[in-house]
Amino acid sequence: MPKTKNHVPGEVGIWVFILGDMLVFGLFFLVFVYYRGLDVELYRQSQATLNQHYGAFNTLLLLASSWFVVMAVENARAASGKQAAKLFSLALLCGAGFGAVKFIEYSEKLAAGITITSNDFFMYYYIFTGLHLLHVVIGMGVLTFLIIKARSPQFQASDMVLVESGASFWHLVDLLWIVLFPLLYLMK
Amino acid sequence: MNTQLIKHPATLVWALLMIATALSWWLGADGGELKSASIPMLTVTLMVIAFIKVRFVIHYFMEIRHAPLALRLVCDAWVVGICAAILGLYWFAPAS
Amino acid sequence: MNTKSQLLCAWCGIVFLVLFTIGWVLLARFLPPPSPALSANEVAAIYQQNTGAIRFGLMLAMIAGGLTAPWVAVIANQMKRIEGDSPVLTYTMLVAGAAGILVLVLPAMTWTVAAFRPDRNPELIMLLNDFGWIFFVMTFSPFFVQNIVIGLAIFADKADAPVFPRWLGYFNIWVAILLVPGGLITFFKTGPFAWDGILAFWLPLVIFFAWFLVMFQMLLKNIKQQALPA
Repeated sequence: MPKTKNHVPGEVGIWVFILGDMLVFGLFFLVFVYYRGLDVELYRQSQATLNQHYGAFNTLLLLASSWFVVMAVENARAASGKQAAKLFSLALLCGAGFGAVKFIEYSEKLAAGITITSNDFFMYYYIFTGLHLLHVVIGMGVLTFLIIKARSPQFQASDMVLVESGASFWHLVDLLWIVLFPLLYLMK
Repeated sequence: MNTQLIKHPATLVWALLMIATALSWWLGADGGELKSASIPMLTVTLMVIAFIKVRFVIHYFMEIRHAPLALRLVCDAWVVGICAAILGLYWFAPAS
Repeated sequence: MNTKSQLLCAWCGIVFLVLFTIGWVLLARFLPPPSPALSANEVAAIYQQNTGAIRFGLMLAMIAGGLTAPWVAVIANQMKRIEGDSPVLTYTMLVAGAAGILVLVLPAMTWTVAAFRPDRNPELIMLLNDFGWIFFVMTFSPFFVQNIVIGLAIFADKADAPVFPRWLGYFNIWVAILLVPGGLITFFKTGPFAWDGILAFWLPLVIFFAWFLVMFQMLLKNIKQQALPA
């Protein structure tokens, strides 16, 4: 827990980016639901070919990674950088697992001849999950940076701003997927 | 890892989020066998669960519950606004 | 301090917005864009019915495009304060900004060619119309690079009194990413990722407009601060 009340997690600037990103993905969600309403049957049939287990498993992976990150931040606050680095590594591993599952999922779809131009549903499916995957990859870069920071013997309290900024970005990656999963895989 | 961290509020939240995901998974997988009348309610339930999860992530993982009021309000407005707009667009979609 | 020249350059950005809006939106009426799904005859009809206003409007848009040169220069000037002796990001911004002028001017000139002989074969009008729109909406790379290096320069500023606030760095990176969906228009004739779609066209357009206003405010603040006696 942060020491003071009214504490902005990380630097203020990162929230310009996080809130901006939430705004844009919010718009993505609405565009998807709007166009879905114009041709519900097509979206239902296309959705039925998705493997929900991949989507659900990936949700669990990202939730686990987020929990590791929360624990890592607490350890970093308690000045135990080594422990924080271990927990960040576990989160990174979950992120890599997410990427691996997505890779398998995309390969299956492409092998079945389903591409971005197959129909509107799959256009959104590829573009939204692709953009989200880009966030996962950027987030994994951020986590790697935090692992290096936390391991360094010079790790100090002033580095907490960096740690919190990076952690907030990783949670953003998690929360966007929490909405994308029911939107693409589950809604009927 | 010391036991105090296991007792951290975020850990309880995490457990709830995992359960909520499992519940959505089960509800969503069963949807195919539902009577068509209950399908809209199922979708609404799934979306509401998702946005409750999002709010927990924002408040407990991102630590927005300790943030200044303005930031808390903006985040909550996003959760409520986007969820309501999704449900509205879904509910009032031209029937096809 | 060359306060007056800097102010002049910064205002050029605003004059660009106004002039481009008058020419491209109000006169040529290119907003909302014609759908990429229109037939050749429908496209030709646009150029045949509104020929005079399109010609004049696009001329203004072309003139407006040139005004982004001083605008880019004043941003570069502020970036150079951060980078000092080895201003590689500043140079990148200048080069990308120069290319960006072409992305504004060249489509206007292509549409002008279409409006020059509106009675020619509709297929040819459509070709020029396609060329203009695809060049205009899809070419995000110079602006993308521009915004990214502005962001990077702001992040690299370790001074006690930084030239720009750090949030402006994040803002520029965010803007850069939002321009990317324009690159998808090559795949679609309808929907949100077509050249008249909400995500490939409207969102980047609004954000691009807002970026000018935000940068303008921050530039003015800096120029006024520099003018104060040290």
